[in-house]
Amino acid sequence: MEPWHVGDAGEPAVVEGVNGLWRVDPAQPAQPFAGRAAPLSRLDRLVHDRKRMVELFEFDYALEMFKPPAKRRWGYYALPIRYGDRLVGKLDATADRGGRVLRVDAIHEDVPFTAAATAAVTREIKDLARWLRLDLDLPARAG
Amino acid sequence: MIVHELSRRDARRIAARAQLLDRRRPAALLDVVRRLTLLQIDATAAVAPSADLVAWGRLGSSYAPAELTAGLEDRTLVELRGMIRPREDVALYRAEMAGWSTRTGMRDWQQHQGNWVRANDTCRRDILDRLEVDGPLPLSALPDTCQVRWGSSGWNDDRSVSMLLVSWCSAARSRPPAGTGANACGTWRAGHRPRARAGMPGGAVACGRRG
Repeated sequence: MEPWHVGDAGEPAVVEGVNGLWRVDPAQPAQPFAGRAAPLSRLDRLVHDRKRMVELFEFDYALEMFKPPAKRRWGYYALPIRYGDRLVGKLDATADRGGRVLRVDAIHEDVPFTAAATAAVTREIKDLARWLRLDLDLPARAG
Repeated sequence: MIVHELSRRDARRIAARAQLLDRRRPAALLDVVRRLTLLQIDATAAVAPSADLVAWGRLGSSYAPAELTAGLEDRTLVELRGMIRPREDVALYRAEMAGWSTRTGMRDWQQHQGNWVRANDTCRRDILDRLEVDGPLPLSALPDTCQVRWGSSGWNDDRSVSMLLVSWCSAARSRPPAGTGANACGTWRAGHRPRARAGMPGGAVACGRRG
């Protein structure tokens, strides 16, 4: 596993509402930012440090594949959804390779998506199906 | 030195840029792995295996999983302890590996494991010979001529060959398989021209990803 400490790289920083002393590349904070939508792997390094995920993104997420189905809130293998600089929801989807379809069971919106967010997330889900070479079964109003 | 004060939003944006999740997309898989430093191997494919999903999240549908397989085949990318890393980064782990045989102050279990690997040197050579002759083989096809069996009270009991290969990885004599661990499953192969390749000391065994 990668080390969690970066040694002397960067400069010390504190982050509002987040515990601890961090290190930052001093050139970073002033850079312009343009976000986009993306469903993430549960092992994506953006969410891998769950404590940081909670404090920085105020995001509620857990892998539920080992939970009994009745106790799942977001699905067997729900993917965190990024939009802009936030984590905004979970995509509950399954690649049904036998049925040649990417089945979207739900898009959980932590706060109701704006029209722009819905369009951006839908575009990424379509790209995901295209990449998997599967048809897309997307409920008219998933979520 | 001053302590920078960042808002949560600043920090989220820095994290997103560092993870290549802003609007500028990287050009190619190797750029992604170099910037992220690793792709974690996890075979759960409810949607897609994690390493592919992470790569798709950066590159979009222009990314083909075959690129990852090809990168591992041509050794632009290597597997190390369950992570896919750029080949050049193996140098970061070599000092620790190289120090294994001459280390002092080892814990009892490390001493025990080192002694056990040395006691089974004949089996190590048998495995290398077999791979040289037959080419890549799955774990189950490797000869088990261990003179001292690996015994434990649990999962790894009597898994001598897989324990030998995993121990071997710690000492930089091999490349570890996908899903590094006692039940590691992958195709093992002998390293070619081992000294010519970064991170590969002599007598190397390499492992390709399954599937």
